[in-house]
Amino acid sequence: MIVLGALPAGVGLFFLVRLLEGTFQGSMTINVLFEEAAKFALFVLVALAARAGHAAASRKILLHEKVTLLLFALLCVVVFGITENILYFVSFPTSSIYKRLLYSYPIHLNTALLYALGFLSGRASSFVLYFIICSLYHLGLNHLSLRLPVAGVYAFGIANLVFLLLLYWRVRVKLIERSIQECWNPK
Amino acid sequence: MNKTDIELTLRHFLKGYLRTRLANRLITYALLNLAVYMLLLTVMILADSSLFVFHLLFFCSLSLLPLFLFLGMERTSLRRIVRAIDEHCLVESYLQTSSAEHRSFMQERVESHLARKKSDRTFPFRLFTANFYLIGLCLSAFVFLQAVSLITLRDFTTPFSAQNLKTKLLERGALQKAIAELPVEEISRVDSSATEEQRATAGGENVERRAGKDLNDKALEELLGDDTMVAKDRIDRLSPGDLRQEPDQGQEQRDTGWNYQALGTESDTDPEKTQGFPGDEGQEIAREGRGAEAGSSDVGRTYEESPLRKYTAIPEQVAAKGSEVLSPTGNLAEGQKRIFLNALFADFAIQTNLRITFNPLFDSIRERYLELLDERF
Repeated sequence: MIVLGALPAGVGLFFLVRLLEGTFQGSMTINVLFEEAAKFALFVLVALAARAGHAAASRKILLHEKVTLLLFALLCVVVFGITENILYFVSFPTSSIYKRLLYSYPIHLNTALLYALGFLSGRASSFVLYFIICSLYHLGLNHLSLRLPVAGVYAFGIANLVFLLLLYWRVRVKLIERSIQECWNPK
Repeated sequence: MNKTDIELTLRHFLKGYLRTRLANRLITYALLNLAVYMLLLTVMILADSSLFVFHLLFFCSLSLLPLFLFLGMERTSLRRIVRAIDEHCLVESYLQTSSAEHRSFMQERVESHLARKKSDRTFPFRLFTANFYLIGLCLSAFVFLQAVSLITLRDFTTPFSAQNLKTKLLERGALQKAIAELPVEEISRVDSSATEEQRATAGGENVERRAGKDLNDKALEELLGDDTMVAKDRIDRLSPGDLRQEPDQGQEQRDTGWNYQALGTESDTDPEKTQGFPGDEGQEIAREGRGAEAGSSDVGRTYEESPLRKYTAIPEQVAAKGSEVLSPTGNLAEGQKRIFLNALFADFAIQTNLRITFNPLFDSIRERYLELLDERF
């Protein structure tokens, strides 16, 4: 169900960003900011939805409900990245698609996991901080990809994947801590 | 062991559990993509699908890594893992109670239980059952791919490269197209029919004989075309004289020596002269200038009619005509002279069957032959 819901949402998010980029015709920096702002807005909306659910149910929202919302946002970004790569491949059908799988696709996933950490921290300041970090990370790697040789891009791609796994592990550990807290302080 | 220690111990268990799950999920992801890759290669061989579709689908399959990482995340809670390591709900009861008195009562037993579990390998690594099925799927896909490759491309797909495979398929397609466009069948048929018409053996076969043969063939066809019983009746009605007629005609034909003749010559109209004028009659005719040479089987032909004589006479013609430009003596457009040439070279016409086939038996014989050569040298 989450996947089915995330599929149109992610595609819609992607075309919304493309619409904005096409309307303003900005530089690469502006485009990166649009993309990161869209993802940031998505996670903020999810956090607000969790808070609104908590207020409506007049009880503390359970961890697995929070994680479900978080999972929805993560899958939206996954669909966003896949849609971008597929359209890129349709426009430029070369083997460079696999380079994107190592490079640009993990960038989206890593930024999404950073926003997930902000979501789990539950503080607005963390969200803003992660937005800045994500924008700089995305912009920096985009510039690097234009300057690095192909081998360098692939090497960075592997580093990106390692970073992805580390971030994923960090999110899971955060969830464990929350889970322990939930068990330790039964309602 | 205080509250923090118990919390750290539980976190240790959870991390171990998650590590096992993560490793299994990554293995699942790799196996699934391997299976997809081989299945896509198989589809490419069978359906000759494009590289674009192959890479698009394989890319989509590779992009599913986050699903393997994220899905099921919402169901992982401490309670579930605690239940997996708990005995008699001891730890869970300890965690669930809000009473400090109950906790202090259970604390000693919980500590000893967790210390024992920590020393054991609580979550040893083992493959998920789904991964075993996926390994089976990969092996099946591999065998299927190789079988399809062997049947279709007559070779194993060892490099596992879609590009190489596509190149092979294109080469095979181009080869098949070229073979299909080869006019081998038609040429051999045309050649055989032409040689049938123009064939003249060393013994020779004149026009009459060919005409007679055509008539015989026609009659045979008529016979064969009739009802079987009717044809049998017709054969039965033939008299012994009818049956002897054909060998006699053949004997006469063989007596003529060079049996091909130019159309429109005297011999064409006078059957007697085709056999020459033996003895005195021939000499008489020769003296009269009616024949070319007395006693020759070429009697009844003009000098010009023999191509060899004409060819050998060319130097004499050049010497006689001086600087006059040589020109064909006859009208080549009429094509009459070609009969001689066709007859002369008819023996060289070899009927060959150039039909190109791809027989696996021949391939296996060739391969075995090459193997034997290798063994020998």
